[in-house]
Amino acid sequence: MIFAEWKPLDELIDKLKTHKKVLLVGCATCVAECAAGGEKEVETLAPLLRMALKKQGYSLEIVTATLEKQCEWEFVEQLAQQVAEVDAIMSIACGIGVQALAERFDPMAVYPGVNTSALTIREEAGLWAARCAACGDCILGETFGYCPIARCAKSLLNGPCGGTRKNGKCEVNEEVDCVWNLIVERADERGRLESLSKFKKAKDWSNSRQKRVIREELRQ
Amino acid sequence: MKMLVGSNLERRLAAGDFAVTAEVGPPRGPDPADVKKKAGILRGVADAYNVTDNQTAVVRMSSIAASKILLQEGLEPVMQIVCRDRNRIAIQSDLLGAWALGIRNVLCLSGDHQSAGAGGKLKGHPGAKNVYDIDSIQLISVIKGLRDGAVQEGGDSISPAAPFFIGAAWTPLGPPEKFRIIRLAKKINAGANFIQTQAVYDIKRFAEAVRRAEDMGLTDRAAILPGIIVPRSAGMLKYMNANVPGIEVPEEMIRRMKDASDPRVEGIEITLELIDAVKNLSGIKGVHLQAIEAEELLPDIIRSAGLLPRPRIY
Amino acid sequence: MSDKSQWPGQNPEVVVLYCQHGLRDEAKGSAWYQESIGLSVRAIMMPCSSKIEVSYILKMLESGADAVEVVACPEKSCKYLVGSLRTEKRIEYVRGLLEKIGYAPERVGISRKLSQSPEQLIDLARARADAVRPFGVNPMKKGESH
Repeated sequence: MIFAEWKPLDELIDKLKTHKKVLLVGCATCVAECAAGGEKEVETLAPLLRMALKKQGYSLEIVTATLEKQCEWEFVEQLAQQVAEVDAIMSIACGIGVQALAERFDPMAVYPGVNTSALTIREEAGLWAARCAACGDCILGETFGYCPIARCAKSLLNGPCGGTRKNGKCEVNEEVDCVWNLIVERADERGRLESLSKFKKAKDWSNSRQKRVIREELRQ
Repeated sequence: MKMLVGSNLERRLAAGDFAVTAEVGPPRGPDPADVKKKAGILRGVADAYNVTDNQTAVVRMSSIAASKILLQEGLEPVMQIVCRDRNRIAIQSDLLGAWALGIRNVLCLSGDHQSAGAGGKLKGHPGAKNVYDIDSIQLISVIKGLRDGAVQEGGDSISPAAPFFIGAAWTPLGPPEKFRIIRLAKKINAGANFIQTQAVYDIKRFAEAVRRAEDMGLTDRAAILPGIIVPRSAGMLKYMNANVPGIEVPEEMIRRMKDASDPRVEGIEITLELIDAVKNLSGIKGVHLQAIEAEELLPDIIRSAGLLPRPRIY
Repeated sequence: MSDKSQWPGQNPEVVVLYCQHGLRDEAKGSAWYQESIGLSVRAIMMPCSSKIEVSYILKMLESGADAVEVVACPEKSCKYLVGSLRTEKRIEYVRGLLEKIGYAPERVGISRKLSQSPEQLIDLARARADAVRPFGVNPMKKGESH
């Protein structure tokens, strides 16, 4: 899912303290799955912020809402009445949700409460790891199901570099497996090591920036 | 033999002489005098001198500028290029500029991640956005295109061609070891003419890897120069063995340094032994010497190894 | 600074959230209130301490409780096997959050006890009250400006 984490509380307080009544909005999809912006987190962050602000001498009313998705206009619309009664919004959805609210409720100030940082899988309870870089040119079919763009610190296509540690971890981040080591091992297990001797030419990165896509068959 | 480029290093290797390269780290500042000083210390002791490119992601004078200063001092540079900081456009542009300035040897590296620059006393730039538009093997291929096809990576031509003697790195003992020889072949197939390896301390293990390379015909197609870093203490060897991927130091060597009455002297002894050992390995065409922040040690070492004076190129 | 000025005319209010297996006296029902010497206790029974969410604890503090004491079963006694272990992690987490906003983490605590009497639960609450006494009344209490 899209992965996000709370911004430092000081940063949030700094933005909120100039307001009188704020709507804190969560999202029940990606950010709920990574325990950053779902209803549970809204109900945790709201009292926390109220207490923090009160202690610093600010009086701020915080009202809350959680949308099914903040990236769909029909759900965003549900906030209209609450928005009319506040003077700022803080969204703990991903950057897409924040911008959807900012666009629909312009000129209302909309602040992000989280930092959106990766596309992850939940490996186990409490552990998320980046798996996809949304590079627009997927090579998973050639790398035995391991993505070197997202998981190699240098996004090598002809890896590994000389930085694979003895224990198979990455020189850059010792908690992370060297993905090229994983690719090589899996290729070997399948008797396909030779396939990795093929030169992979320079990547076309152009399909992944400033994307704006029209699908005519779906337009109304 | 027809030269690809005609650099000093290429001629030395073509003549079948045992080549010597040494490393020159540019200064963390803009003063050319710092480069000239090192050039003065190392003049005449090697066939070519590697100039590092913001090694460990620490900002230093650029390798292209420092390489030019070496040229002006009469030394032949091997300009190192990393893929961390520049995209294919900037790299190709720098290569055209480097050629115009007289640089003829390049070493292609992916480059240490930017997080490596923050360590010890240094803050570095761990928050910098890295590039890694292409990797080291694609870079070899790009340079081969500029030389043999007068063509850029994207297909446009350059005029005239820009011939470089192309180098690459090899970490024979890094995991996964079974793949390291395949990756060496990839680099040579992509166009690498010479190879400088990660520091060698375990001759036996290194020799096995070189034999595999020989079996695959790789030692005839590219000149392999094992890297040797002058050890200064048991602690240094222990550290590198534990923390630098691809460096393996035999236990006996660490013990030997520990028991030595003068580790500095012992380290030089070990260096000379290593040079002698690799000189006698079939398939090895030279040696790449590094003395970290102690370049002044190299002239004596190279002399004691019987490698001076460097033969003249006619 | 004397204790009394931190607590002008009042005693610490402690909320005790206890696992149903933490209290052996079923006659108390699922929620009860008791005043004792130097503190008042609001006790709420949970089917398992792991039903306690971080947000509940924060809301209790937000509405004026001076401290929250969770009574969870010892690790090997948890009827849901890993319940009380998860509770412990949540308590650690909420203490960290309190510290980040300048509140004493001591305002939230956890005891691992089984089959207590009501008096024993009150004693646990008293220990929690003693722990927060140096930090004074919860700033969130009505009428407090800071």
